[in-house]
Amino acid sequence: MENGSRLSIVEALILASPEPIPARKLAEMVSDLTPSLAGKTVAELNNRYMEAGCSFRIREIAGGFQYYIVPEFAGYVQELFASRRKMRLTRASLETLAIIAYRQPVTKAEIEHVRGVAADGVVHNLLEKKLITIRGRAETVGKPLQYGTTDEFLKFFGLASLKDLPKMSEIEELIAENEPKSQTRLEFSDDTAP
Amino acid sequence: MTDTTDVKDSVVVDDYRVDLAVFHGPLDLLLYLIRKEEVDIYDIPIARITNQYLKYIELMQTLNLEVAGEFVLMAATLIRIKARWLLPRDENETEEADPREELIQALMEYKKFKEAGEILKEKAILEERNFVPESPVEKIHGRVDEYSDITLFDLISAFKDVLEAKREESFHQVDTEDVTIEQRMEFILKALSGREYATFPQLFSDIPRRIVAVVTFIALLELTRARRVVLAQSKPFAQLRVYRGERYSAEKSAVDLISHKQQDEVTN
Repeated sequence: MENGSRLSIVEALILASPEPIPARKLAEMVSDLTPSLAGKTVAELNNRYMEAGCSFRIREIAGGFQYYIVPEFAGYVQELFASRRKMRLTRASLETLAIIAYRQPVTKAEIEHVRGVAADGVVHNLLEKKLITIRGRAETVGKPLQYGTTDEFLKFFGLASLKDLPKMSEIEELIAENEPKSQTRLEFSDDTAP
Repeated sequence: MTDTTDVKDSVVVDDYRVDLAVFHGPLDLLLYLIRKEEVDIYDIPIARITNQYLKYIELMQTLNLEVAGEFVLMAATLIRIKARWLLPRDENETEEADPREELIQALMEYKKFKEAGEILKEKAILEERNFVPESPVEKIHGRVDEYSDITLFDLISAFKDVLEAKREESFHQVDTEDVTIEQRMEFILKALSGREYATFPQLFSDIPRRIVAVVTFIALLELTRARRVVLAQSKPFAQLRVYRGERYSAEKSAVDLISHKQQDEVTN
């Protein structure tokens, strides 16, 4: 297949898909296209858009490719989307989502153990918002339900996949940096040293 | 019990009252106290933090705020740790564990996810500036409600609304209802024959009795399962709509449907 037509076909498919379209699916639909070639094609398309000064790009989100308007033009575009009200999440919801995202599949009891408060309301709310879903039951006493995050979760936070979340070790480092330590205070710092 | 004015005096200094609602549990309050007192989280001065913690709990009571059970439980835990901390060490036990250990672990664990929650919040704000164009294909087909990821919650809450609307018309009369699921299935299929879709409330609009509504709901579930109808909505929380499914046929009798059901069970 010619390079030009491959670019156009992939462009058409991503543009027409109502949901983010996975590289695997593109490869199934276009002959001679492999998932990795699909990724390269997308990168090539994005280069062209950039060179031409286009206001849109293709990005990977929730495991598929999707067109979006670059944030630079958000100010102009948002008028059109005025009716689209983004849902706001409370801190309790965000913390609970973080626990579920990193620990999935996870039971309500495990969430409650980490946060130290009852999780019923928050979990119910997140289920209703479709940011989490029931994944199964834990093989422990009472076989409690286990929860996991959804594609809707990835879309809401603009993540290509769960791998896009910052690593737990990075978060630990971040905390350690901000943590005042009594041990370090006892040591001589550079400016007091003779 | 305790002199409450004393409590007020000591706390109002920090102008803490505004922040009360911000605490999302005992661990959150403890982290706040540790930060405020500028103490090392790995070497918590347990007596001082416990006193501070108890003062806040009292304040919450003074302000008539409902103190959740978790806060009280944590108070008990703190007092227990404090008691063990103050007790003279058992000479026979050379390697006694630090009674604070478990609490510190829990605090650190919670702190990580609190931070992760903050990061998620920032990501959501960034994502708000990424606008995704609506797919032109949906427009061509004139059917915008491709959103078919409907959960049991959506169904039950839609049905709850329907039932609540019928509540007032109840009167005491014991009748034998001869309504069957099959009849209601046929009713739903007929309702869809003349139009593209029926909204959820429309299906229940002409039903005077709750029992008939319940049977209709069960019939709807059966039809969805047999893929003779499809439920969809334009976006999350929008009104549910019932469409003809891939196996839709208004003429087929209910008996036929049961055989479909059996086929399903064989193939599954």
